[in-house]
Amino acid sequence: MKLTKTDWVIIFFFLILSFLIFLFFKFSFVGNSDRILMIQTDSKLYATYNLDLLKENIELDIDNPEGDFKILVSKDKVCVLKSGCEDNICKRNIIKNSGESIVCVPFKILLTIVSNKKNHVDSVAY
Amino acid sequence: MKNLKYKTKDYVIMALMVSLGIVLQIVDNMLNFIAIPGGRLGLSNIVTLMNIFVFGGLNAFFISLLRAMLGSLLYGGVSSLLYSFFGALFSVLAMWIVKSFFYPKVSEIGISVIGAFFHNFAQVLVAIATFENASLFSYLAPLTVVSVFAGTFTGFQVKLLNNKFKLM
Repeated sequence: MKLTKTDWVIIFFFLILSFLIFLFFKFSFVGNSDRILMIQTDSKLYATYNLDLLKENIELDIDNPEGDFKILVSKDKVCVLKSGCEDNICKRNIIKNSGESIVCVPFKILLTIVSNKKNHVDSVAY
Repeated sequence: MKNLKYKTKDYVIMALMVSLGIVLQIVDNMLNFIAIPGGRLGLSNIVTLMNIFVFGGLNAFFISLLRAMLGSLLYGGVSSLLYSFFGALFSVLAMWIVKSFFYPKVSEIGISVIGAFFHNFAQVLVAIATFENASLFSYLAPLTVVSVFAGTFTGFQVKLLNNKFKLM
């Protein structure tokens, strides 16, 4: 019961690939730019928040046809507080840095943090 | 058994494989202890890879597509159907190709790791297509680490089965 040499090559190839993808997304977002939270329902933009300009924590209900979906938006973290779906995978994820995202597959909701490299936008822009 | 000598018997066994895959898929959904969201053990991959060895690639292909569709309709709902379907499609094709060209050199574990990776890759692609947001590609990094470990685990099971029952 041993792994062949090619097995090890495959395993290390994927580990290195994963590390490279991680590095690519880590360094494509660096710089002293603001972190912008983008909320998408399906492929449409629902709302954006500038996390670095945020004054207070916001609890936001996202309207969608499937059911309840409540998120917490604060300076140090974004997470899902309440979700109407039963598997609750999205609740296990907490994001705060640029390039990170939370995906809700059943409700088709996507929360991503991106960095803006241009001018400052307002804290809330619908 | 690759030539399907005993037709009816083979069909019955293949149908049993579909149901075995669905049961493992449901168990898999219950065992969600992996900290990375979306990361799963992929237990039904054991059945898929075993089918490639026993029934050949083409039959395994249809078995796992049927399993993915029925399993997600029974358990996950319509939204997970696309993810399940493309995950199964990509992973079974990748494993079939690798098995038929490199089998003794790449053991069951390597094949299973490749299958697990392509399963996740397909699902990330489906997510990118639904949200039209390419930044989701970054999700592949943690998922690939999960797929290496989960793939090694499931590949190990298939190797045990292969040694015990001489599937080839």
